[in-house]
Amino acid sequence: MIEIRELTKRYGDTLAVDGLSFHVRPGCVTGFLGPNGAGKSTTMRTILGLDAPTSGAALVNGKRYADITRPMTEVGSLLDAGAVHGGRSAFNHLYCLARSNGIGKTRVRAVLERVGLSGVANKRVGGFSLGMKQRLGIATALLGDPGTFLFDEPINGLDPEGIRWIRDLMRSLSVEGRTVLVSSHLMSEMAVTADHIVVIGRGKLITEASIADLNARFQRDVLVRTPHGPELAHALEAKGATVQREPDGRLAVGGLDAEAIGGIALAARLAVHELTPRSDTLEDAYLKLTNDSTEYRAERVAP
Amino acid sequence: MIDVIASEAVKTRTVRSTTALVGSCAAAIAVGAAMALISAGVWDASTTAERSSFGGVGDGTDVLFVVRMCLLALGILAATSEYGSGMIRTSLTAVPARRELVLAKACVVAALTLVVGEIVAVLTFLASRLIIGNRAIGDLGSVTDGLPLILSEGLAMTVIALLGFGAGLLLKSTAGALVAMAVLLFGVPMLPLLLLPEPWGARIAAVMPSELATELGASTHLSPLGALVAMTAWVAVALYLGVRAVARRDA
Repeated sequence: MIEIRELTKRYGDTLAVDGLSFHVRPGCVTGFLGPNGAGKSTTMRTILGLDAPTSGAALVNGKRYADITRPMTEVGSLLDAGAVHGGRSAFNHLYCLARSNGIGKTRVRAVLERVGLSGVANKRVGGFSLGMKQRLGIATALLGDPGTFLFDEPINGLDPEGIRWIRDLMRSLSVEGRTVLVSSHLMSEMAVTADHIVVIGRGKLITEASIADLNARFQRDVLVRTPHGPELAHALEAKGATVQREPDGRLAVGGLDAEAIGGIALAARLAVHELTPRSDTLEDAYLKLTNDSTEYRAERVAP
Repeated sequence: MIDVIASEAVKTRTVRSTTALVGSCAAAIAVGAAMALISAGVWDASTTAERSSFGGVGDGTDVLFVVRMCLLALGILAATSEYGSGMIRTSLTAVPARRELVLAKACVVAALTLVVGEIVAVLTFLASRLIIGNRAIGDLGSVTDGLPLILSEGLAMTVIALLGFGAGLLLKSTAGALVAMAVLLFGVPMLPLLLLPEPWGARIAAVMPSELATELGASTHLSPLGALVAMTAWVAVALYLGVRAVARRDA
């Protein structure tokens, strides 16, 4: 359980996080989305006590992270896979961290096995690829077998097999009843990984919803195929719908749902061959949500 | 706290810079012995008149200056290697109690540099005495005469390594901390001598970290107790500033 309460973080003149509040519940994967510079990493760093909030609080299981005695046994995190000393072997890197939380060598070997790095356990971390470092970071998070996980852009640098592995891992952790918060700037990735979504932009909460709600909210119009185009269009417009004729002769009907359209067609005794509700893809929904809050944007190139 | 100290000991043991620096310290014993051998050879081939101008050089213990620098580097790297790589963020996630983390590191730096410093200092000195014998080379005299100064030198190495550790925490940069320590060890002690009238110039210079080994082992301006107090004060200030810097800033 992670609780963000009225969190504000200011770096000099830059307001990175601005009065942000949300909850991350156990038993599901919560996607933490926002454009680059939205404040995702700052929020996660504040949860982990790396940055002090300017005001407000970020609590894990009701406590400040810094007040947890053996934090690796409560919270596993991967913020920056590159934040390792390149001179240590994978085993020694994990062991020096494990030792500080009273975790033994057997557990270190077990997590190396779980992330598939057993074969390179005695190799220096400096020679690892980004993908291997991500796996090492995941291994660090798993060391204390914690109930809460924070992953900042964990799929960066992974190959397709690695991406699937991370997805499955996050799924299985949440199924075991653990709390999983994973940040990303890719809606498409979250659409297949997360159950719940928190979207922020410019440090503020934009929306918090389940993937299913988000899909429903961004329903756009209903596509209607009928041999009686002009008559049905007339009948629907009389009920306040907006109707546009698609190039293939179908009608794109806005303002009414499929049920209402079917009812109107039946009342007018007009045959209907197809009724398809169309919604924005989650990708489009995300772009609409964050459009106003994108901090760095390239000029759109004219087609 | 024991777990965190053990963790820091693992960290120190598992980087190559530690092996290289401790290895250099051990090698210094051989270099010192070689210097003493050369001096003894030259001594034996010299006339009585030449021997009178042999002065205070050449008994091989001057190599301890290099050991001092190696252990200073070890202290600095204990702090800066975490900052250079970003490892500090991973470390602080594992141990969010920042004062505890810094003090655990300081314990490891102190223990390692004290053991290595004293062993290397004493062995270098004994080798030198064995080779020099009763020739009048150097200014340390017999084993019993020179030992207090040699033990003080070993302790001063730990003090200087901890000052380097504090500078590393403050500056987060290996190069920056090295420069700061070079100024503190070689530049600052000259200032009072140049700028203040005697005896104040020498008195103030005597409490500088680079001079405290001499003050403790062969007191000239400070009593041995005074020198110990000055050493403790330097370490306390360095650790206080280091802890405060780490506790206050965002990692």
